[in-house]
Amino acid sequence: MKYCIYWVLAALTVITPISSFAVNVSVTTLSVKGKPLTGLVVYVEPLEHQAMPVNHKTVVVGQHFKAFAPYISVTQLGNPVEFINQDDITHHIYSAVGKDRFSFKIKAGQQRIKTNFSEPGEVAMGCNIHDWMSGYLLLLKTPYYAKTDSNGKVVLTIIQPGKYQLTVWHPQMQEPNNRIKQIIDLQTDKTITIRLTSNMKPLPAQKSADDFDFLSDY
Amino acid sequence: MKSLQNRIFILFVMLLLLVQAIALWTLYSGNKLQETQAINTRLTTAKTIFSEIFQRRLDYLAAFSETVAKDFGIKQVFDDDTRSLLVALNNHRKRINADLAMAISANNKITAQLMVEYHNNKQVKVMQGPERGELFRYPAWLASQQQAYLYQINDNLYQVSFSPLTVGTKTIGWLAFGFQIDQRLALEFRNITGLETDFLLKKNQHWQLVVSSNKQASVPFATQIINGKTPTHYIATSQLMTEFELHQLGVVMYGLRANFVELLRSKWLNFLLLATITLLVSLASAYWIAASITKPIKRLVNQAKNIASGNYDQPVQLNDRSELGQLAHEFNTMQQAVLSREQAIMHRANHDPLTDLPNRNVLKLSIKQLLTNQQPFTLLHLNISRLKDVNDTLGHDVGDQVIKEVGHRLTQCQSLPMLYHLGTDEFILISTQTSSDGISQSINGIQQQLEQNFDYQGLSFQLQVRIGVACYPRHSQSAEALLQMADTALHHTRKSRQSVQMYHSDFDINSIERLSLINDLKQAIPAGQLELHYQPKLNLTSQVITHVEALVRWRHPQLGMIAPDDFIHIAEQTGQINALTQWVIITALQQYHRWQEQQIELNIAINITAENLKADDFYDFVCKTLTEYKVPPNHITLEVTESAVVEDPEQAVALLSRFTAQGIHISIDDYGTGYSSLAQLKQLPVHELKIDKSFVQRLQQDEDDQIIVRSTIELAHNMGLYVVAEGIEDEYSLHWLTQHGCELGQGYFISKPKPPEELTIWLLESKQYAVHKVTT
Repeated sequence: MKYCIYWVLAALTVITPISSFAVNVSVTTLSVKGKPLTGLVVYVEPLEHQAMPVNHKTVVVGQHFKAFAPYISVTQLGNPVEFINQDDITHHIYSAVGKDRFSFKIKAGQQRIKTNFSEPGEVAMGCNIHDWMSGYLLLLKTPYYAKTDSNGKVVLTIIQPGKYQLTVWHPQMQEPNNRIKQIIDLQTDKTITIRLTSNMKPLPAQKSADDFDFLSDY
Repeated sequence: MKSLQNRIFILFVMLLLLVQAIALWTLYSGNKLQETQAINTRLTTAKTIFSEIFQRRLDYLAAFSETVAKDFGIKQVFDDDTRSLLVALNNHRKRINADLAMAISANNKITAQLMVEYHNNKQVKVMQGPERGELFRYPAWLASQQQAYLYQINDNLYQVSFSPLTVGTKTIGWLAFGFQIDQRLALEFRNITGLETDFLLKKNQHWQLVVSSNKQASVPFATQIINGKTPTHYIATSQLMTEFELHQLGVVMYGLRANFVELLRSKWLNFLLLATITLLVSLASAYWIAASITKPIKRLVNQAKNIASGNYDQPVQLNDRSELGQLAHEFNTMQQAVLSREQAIMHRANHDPLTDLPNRNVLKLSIKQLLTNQQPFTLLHLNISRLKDVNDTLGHDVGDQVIKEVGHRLTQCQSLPMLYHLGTDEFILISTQTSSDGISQSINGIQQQLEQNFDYQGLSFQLQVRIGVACYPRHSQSAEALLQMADTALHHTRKSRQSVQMYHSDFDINSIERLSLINDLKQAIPAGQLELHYQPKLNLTSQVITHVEALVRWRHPQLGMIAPDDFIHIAEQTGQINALTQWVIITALQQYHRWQEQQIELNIAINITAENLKADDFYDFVCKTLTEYKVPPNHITLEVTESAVVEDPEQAVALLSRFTAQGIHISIDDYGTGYSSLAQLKQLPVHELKIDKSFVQRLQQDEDDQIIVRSTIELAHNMGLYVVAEGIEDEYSLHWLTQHGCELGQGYFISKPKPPEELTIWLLESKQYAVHKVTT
């Protein structure tokens, strides 16, 4: 119990000095019909050179049941990215565009950590063995990002107030560059609702078109 | 033209022509259809093959570009330096020998473009395309699902397929591979289908030729085909391909029609030749059949013509067991039947049915023959005496037996072989003897044959004949005249009461007179040639002339006065008797009135005949005329001969009863000469009997006549009739009759018949006899 209380207190001590002048921005994403949209990436980038802490998180790009799981992984640029093969089959993960193009094989149950991403932006990933597999890795400079929850909502706590650019991104969003951008002035807590103007494309099924079964014998 | 042969032949010809026409038409239309079908099949096949090839190229391209887009190697170099990409792209291109390869980046920029250049359809080199670094012209194509397009770079036209290059679902660019639509394709297609192939492109409503297998290809020609108008002598089809960039690709395939239907044409010509030969052979056969069917019929027709013209000698010979053969047989049978029947008819026509001796027809021919030969001959016209008596008393059957016997006997005359039976009792024999001795000899021969009595059914008949004789050339040159002369001579035997009479020219007069009388009588009444004379009847008791008998006279312009005996008979026979009697009645009634005017009271007797009694309107005429002339009926007496009454007693009695009912007096004329029975006499409604003059004329000499007259008078008186005696020619008779109670007398002794004027004078001036005066 003591540890618990301590952990809470420790957390409070970390957050409290920030919260004294930190601002919460709450963003809800809704579909054209007004239903909450889950899994969309929301991130906020400073426009006035506000300080951006480094969050030092390791993001996982998992491969499970011959699909990227999660479909979208987001991390702050510079953090290590851990590719974990949770299947009993080898995957050959690659990206084909950009300076940080990569291509490597991960055998069943193994993992690989990659730390040398140098450019921000989205990285489309495929598997050279399983053509249907499709996944995205979004590399951001900002630490303020989250994926909308089942209510379509994220709450981001911004340390330093000022003008920020709010971006909602998803590969299946039918917007220019798959993005909706908005400039926001964050002085106090803010609640923003973003409603899409067009329907999203369906998510890739990440299933083989011809569901073969011959591999189960091995 | 209407002959059976022609009709059969024409029928055959029509049938054959019809059959051939149908066959030809069927074949022609079949051939035509086959031709059309062959062409259609050819064109459809060509079109299908084209579509197939064209589509297969696209499918091939699509499959290939899709495969290449999935290739990891190309994905790896896609964002690398251009050289690496070009090499990788060309490596793939070579695998299917594509004519075009392109890479387009995600931002629609053409990052690589490879084209193959050809010269004379041979690959020359691969070079970079002109559009490298440019934006792709049709970004819409990339977004769409369709993979295949027609793409034009400069003047080159390509079938192109695009495939997206993806990483997962992320599209990082596109790859395109294409085959050029060029002469190689056109030639390949021509090799497969045998049709020239043009590719055209429609730009700004104008067709341009892209490429063709045909060096002489022209845009107007191809345009015509595209518009659905196949040029003459060609078979053609067209297809409009995908629209792109507002242009249309047209494919035109065509070939010379003759090249495709040549085989069919030659087949057709062969058949025409065969059909013509068949038709000719069929027609010849038809003619032969028609002729062979009608040949026996023609013979039968000729035979029928022969028979019709009376030639029965030739039977028809047909070696044919068909119906025609049977017909020929029936023809022969018929011919025989006709022949025998004709012979029978001929025999009957030329022979008397009773005696079977040659008749008048044969006689005329014989005489003609003799005249032609100028052979002198004698005609003996023979008549059986008293045959009428035999017929009347014993019946015609017996009379016929007598005739037959005479005929038979005459055939026995060896010297007179030429014997003819003219009918009833008349025969003619011809003797070539013309001397009087010869004739006598012949006649003797005849009489010798007939000398012996003919016994028949217990009766013995004396066969007596009378013979009239005329000779050639002594009496006449003409057959008719000779026969007439012999007949005249025969008639004369009756008068001369001789059995044989040679013709003499004196005999002719009466006959000729008689002939002319028949004609002249018709004119007699209208010409006023007839006149009535009247003979008075004396009342023997009172010596007063109380009655007259009207007697008709004919004053013939040439022959003078003719007695009624000579023409009444003719009038009866020629149907003029009614007119004559009517004239007599009218004239007599007119005379009655003249006498009345002269105060003379007379009863006028008028003779009527059997013919008058038969006429339906006679009674009405008499009554009407009496009324018209207002003559009291009891001043008229109708004299009917006994024989007239006997012909049809019942009708006569009925009619006469009607006359007596009118008050007209009826007298039986010529009483005693007929065969009237007393029973008939009893029934007759008559007032008087007129004793025939034959009994009165010789009353003085003949005691028998006296008996007859006396008993007749008594008989008449007993029956309530009074009696008139005619033929009083002497005083004795007059006295005798007066003494015996005869009421009236008539005769030359009293007065002959006189014309009315003369009689009137005689009556008025007679000192001997009185006349009744009309009482007023």
